[in-house]
Amino acid sequence: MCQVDATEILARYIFSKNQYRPSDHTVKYSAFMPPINKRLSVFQITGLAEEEIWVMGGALRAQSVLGRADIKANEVIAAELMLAADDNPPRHVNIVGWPEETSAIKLKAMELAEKAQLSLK
Amino acid sequence: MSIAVPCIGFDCPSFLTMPSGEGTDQGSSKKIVSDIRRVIAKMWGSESITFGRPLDDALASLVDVYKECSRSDWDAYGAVAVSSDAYEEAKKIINLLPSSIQMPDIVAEPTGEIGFEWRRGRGQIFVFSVGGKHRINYAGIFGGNKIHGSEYFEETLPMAIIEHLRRLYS
Repeated sequence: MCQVDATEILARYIFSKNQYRPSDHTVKYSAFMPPINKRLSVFQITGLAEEEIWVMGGALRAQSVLGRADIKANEVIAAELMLAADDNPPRHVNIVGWPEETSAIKLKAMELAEKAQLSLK
Repeated sequence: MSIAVPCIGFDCPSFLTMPSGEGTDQGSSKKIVSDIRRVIAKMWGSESITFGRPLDDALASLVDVYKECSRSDWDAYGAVAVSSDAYEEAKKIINLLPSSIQMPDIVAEPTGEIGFEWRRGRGQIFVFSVGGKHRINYAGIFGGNKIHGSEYFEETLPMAIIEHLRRLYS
């Protein structure tokens, strides 16, 4: 597991319109709910130009990227979660260390969404 | 004195018909309706009750979420499809929500559950989800206080859920 600097900014790309709130420009907790394997995929974007960040997100999936939720690595650590960088694809990091209880996972996702900054494409 | 008169043909009022407010017992029937309304309003912690549009909007939002997320990988990260059981349970929940509170944002979760999110600004959030298994998983942030848990759900909203919603809106 590679280390991620606490000052790093991480982007969670959003492909579903029901994961953000255009009315007040905030991220819904569901954007940070991990999949069944409990590895939430994010990307390190520190030092990249805005255009490069969107190009990276756009190349990930067949679906169009709609936006992204940016969060500082130290906020993830403050929520008692861990960062596992695998650089596959480049700059890729998984947020891991999620609790077992479904309701506790929800609370962590809410905490991350509260700290995240929404950017729409 | 009152006399029982047999009801002939189709002119009889339905048991469900609201009192007309006319007749010999006008005062008491109006009072009964008024009392029932007041008791229901008090149960939900509000004197005003609104039906109709917010409920319709929430149901329409649920349909939208179900349409978008009833196929697998709807989030491009391998999400599980929202099941019809989860959809039906979510519909039941919407119809049980106290009408005195704001209707929630309705979302799909990657596990296939349907979530309800109330947000009253930064640090004031309550969410819960259902997946068609008679179980409500909830979490809340109320300023510096954080809670989470799980409740069995059948025909009525668990009191714990109603209390947390009250807390958010108090």
